[in-house]
Amino acid sequence: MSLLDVRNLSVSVEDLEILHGIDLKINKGETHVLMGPNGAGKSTLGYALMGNPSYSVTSGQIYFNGLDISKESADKRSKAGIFLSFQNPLEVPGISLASFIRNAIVQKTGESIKYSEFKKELKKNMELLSFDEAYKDRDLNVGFSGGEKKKAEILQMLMLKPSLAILDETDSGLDVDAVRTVSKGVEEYQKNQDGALLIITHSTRILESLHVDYTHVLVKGKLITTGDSSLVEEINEHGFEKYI
Amino acid sequence: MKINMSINQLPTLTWNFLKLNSVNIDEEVVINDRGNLNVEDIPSGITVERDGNLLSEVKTGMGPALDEMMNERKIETLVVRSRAGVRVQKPLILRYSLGEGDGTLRRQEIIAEEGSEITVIMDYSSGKEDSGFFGIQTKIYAKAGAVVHVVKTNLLGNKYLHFDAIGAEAEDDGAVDITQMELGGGRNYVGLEVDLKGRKSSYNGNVGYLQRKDQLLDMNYYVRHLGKKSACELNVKGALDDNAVKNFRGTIDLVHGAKGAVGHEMEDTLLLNKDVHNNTLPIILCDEDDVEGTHGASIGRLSEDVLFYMKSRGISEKAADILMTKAKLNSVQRLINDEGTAGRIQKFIEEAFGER
Amino acid sequence: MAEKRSQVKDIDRSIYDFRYDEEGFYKVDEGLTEDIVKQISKEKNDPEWMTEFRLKSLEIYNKLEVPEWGPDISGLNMNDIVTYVRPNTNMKAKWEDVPEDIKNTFDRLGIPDAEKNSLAGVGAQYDSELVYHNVKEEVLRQGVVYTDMESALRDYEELVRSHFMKLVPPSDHKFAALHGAVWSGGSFVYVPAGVKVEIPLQSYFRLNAPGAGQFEHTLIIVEEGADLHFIEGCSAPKYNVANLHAGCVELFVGKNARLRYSTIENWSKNMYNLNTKRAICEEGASMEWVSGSFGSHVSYLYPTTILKGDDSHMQFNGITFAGKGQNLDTGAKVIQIGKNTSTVIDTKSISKDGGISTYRSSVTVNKDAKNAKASVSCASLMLDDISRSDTVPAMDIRTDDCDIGHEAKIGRISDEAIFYLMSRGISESEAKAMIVSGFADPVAKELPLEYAVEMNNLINLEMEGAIG
Repeated sequence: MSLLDVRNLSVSVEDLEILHGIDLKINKGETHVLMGPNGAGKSTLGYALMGNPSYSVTSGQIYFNGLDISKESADKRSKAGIFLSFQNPLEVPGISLASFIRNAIVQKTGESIKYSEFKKELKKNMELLSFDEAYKDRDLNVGFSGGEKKKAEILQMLMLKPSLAILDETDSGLDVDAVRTVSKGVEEYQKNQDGALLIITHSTRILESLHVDYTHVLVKGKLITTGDSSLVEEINEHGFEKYI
Repeated sequence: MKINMSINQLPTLTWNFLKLNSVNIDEEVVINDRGNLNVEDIPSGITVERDGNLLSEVKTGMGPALDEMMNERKIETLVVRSRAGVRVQKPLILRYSLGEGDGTLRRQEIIAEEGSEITVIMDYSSGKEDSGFFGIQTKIYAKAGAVVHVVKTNLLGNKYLHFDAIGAEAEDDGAVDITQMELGGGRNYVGLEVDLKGRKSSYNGNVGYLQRKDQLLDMNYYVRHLGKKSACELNVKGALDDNAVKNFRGTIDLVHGAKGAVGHEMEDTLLLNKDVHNNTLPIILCDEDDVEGTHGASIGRLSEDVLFYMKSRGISEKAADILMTKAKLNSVQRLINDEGTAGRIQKFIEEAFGER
Repeated sequence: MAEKRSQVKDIDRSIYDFRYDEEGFYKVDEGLTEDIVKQISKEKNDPEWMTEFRLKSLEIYNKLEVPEWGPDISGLNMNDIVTYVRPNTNMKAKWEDVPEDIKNTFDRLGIPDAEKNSLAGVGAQYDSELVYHNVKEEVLRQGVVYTDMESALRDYEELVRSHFMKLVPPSDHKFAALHGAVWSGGSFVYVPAGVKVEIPLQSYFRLNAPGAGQFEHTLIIVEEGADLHFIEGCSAPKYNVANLHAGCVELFVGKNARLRYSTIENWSKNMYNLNTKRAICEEGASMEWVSGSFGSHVSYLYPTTILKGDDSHMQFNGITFAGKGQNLDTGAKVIQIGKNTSTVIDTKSISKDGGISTYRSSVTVNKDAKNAKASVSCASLMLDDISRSDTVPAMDIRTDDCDIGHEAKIGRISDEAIFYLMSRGISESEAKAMIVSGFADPVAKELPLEYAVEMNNLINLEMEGAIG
């Protein structure tokens, strides 16, 4: 049984169909890359998998761990083990990064966690991400730079320990060092948790240090081709022209 | 004692059907003067005396009716004063403890002498289910270059009738900074007037509130810009749950001659239940061209975007409501520079959501 | 139709300031009594129910007080207002038949040319009666009724009776009661289900006799799925005696219908404009207001929309320009009742030469109005330090299932903006006029071109006096 099994999925936004009949299987521990030109519908797939109410599934199903979650709300999907990193994460004045993560963990597991343990793990992960520890007490994403927001998202991924993490353009707008830091976090996720990944990207920088199992190319709302990691290199060299 | 008076009148009238032009209070209250005031150690540079009525000219946003009532009953005035040129960081804490059936009127004056700085924290509390009446009046005068920080925390019982009348004036470069947490009480009436008389005088107001069950919070805020380059920044935020009612009237008056004055007000209201009732009336009166006045209001449930982000992290809608309410209250409570008071506020909020 | 323009040329203020002698016109005695109301009713051949309605309204009028909020109207002495002045002419179907002096007035305002070129129909009200009225053939063929209220009362009595002052009852306020007692003239429009009127219908109101009040009644019924744009323009010559306008507009927008109601009001600067406008929207209906207030000494004007049906929508775009001696209190009201209703209010006001403009509004969201949305934005521009601008917006929200946003801003033209334009060779006065036009642009954009031009001319005219 696949961890994620997307069958013939079509998705619309305000009555406009963006994705047309997507089939996609992701197994435990696998890393998949979703590439495609701008406007192909990559982020739409991420939102649809996470259950954004503005993106309506017009046909097909999403199975996660064998259960049809197509109609579940986002918090249920999160509790089931799906994580989506946002391109523009929410800013919340009045709630610190640490307290937000702690809240989310308590919500997810339904039980409280020891503060000392939480603090230790948070510190470890922040160090890994070269994330200044002072940020844990700052309000969630308020006044964070683009790179800090991405780090905060990856930090949440590491803390929430999903079984499938969808990274939506997590590398965009970052300098070389920041990309390296973010991929360090992603490597850590791959290594420690046997977690599956769906990396949505239109560049290949984040993939340089990561092991990739499958690469999919999405064009005009359809999955055109699937290959192994070599496809990434091919696209890197020749672009998407061949598929358009 | 029978109270029959009109309070919280708008500085300019509008349609009667809105029922916001003023509030008429007509009811029987018991005044037995039983409330207890505990003044914690007085920081050096500050004096606390029980003498006259020095700021009788200063108007509060509640209107003259409460003044008259206090004068008639010869209510004593506590005068808090900071010495000229002395900047005191340590807050003076006035704790009013009330009990079941207490009926109390109090007034206090805060006079900051030239170039001084003072922080006064006022905390009103009683047992959670207590009923009673607590009317308090606070008048503030910031002389040239003085800075006054006032914190008011309402943690009264849920059957209390509460009047909080605030009046302030600021001279040149005088700053009045008022932080309020409106959490307790049954029916709460707050009337504030700040007259920014001096050049570059300023008022910085922050109000955080949580009103639940049958609570009512009725606010009338009136800021008059008289001095050149005077500045007002007023932020009101909070949440309404169950069948709570909140009325917010906020008037910025840019008086002729107040060249370069800037007045901003912002209201942010989170609605948590279908039975709540929210009235918002943000007014700008402008009789001067070289000024800037803005107001904004945002009223409603959590937006789809906020909710989706929260849910993607496994936080349910209900939990997100609580989290965002706390966020709003935290951002106001954080301005209070006293751990004890902050802790009491935190406890009150936790308990409120505990029983939700 | 966009290619053909009506002939509204550059505006010369004097064209609004001429008048003709009232020789031979019929006038009632000054002041308002039961006898006068009866006399008006008899004169107009009212059916009996209307006579009773008028008398009942007079009774209410005598009981109600003038509002204690808003601009001062103590300069208005009701006993001095002649409520009813009727030109000694009957309705004419052809322009050639309209008496010469009245025709001249309208010629100078450019109305017939406009009508000939691009308008579906023009009803021009000279004092209290419609004197000229014509509707294009094709509109009539669609089953659209566009006539004066008196004729409607005769020819469509049941339709009028079931709608007349049902939205704005005489008990609403003192001047609504006055209107109920002495109303005269106005337009009646009926658009049958599914009919889309391609070109705007227009009416043009004028007041001519000194001291004369105008109490025209506009009743528009747009049936299910129909579509109409109605344009109302007003101007009046100047007089020294106080003039009163207490008109009433009632708009019924049926299921999935759309009505756009545009007004450019430019009454003379001695007018007391106490007008009441109200619309009700059924399911899926859309009401759009475009409102420009330039004239009058005092105005109380807050078009109201009742979003009764689910998925109904209202949009209000307004501009108010208060110059010397003017106190204009304008805005909008909306009551959201149905589910998924939405409101967009966007207003601008400009104060100059001691003028006072007040933006006043209310948004009421009822308890059962699930998923209600409202967005209110008002901006005010102060052009000098002797004028005044107030903003008094209220929001009464009785459900959590809503998203209400509000923003307001008051200030003057920034020195930087003027400096920037001057650095590009534009004179200071031109720069200011440009900025003010730009400020008004969101409203101008909502108007048909010829009216946008008229509005811009009005703004330029107002600006000229101030700067130089």
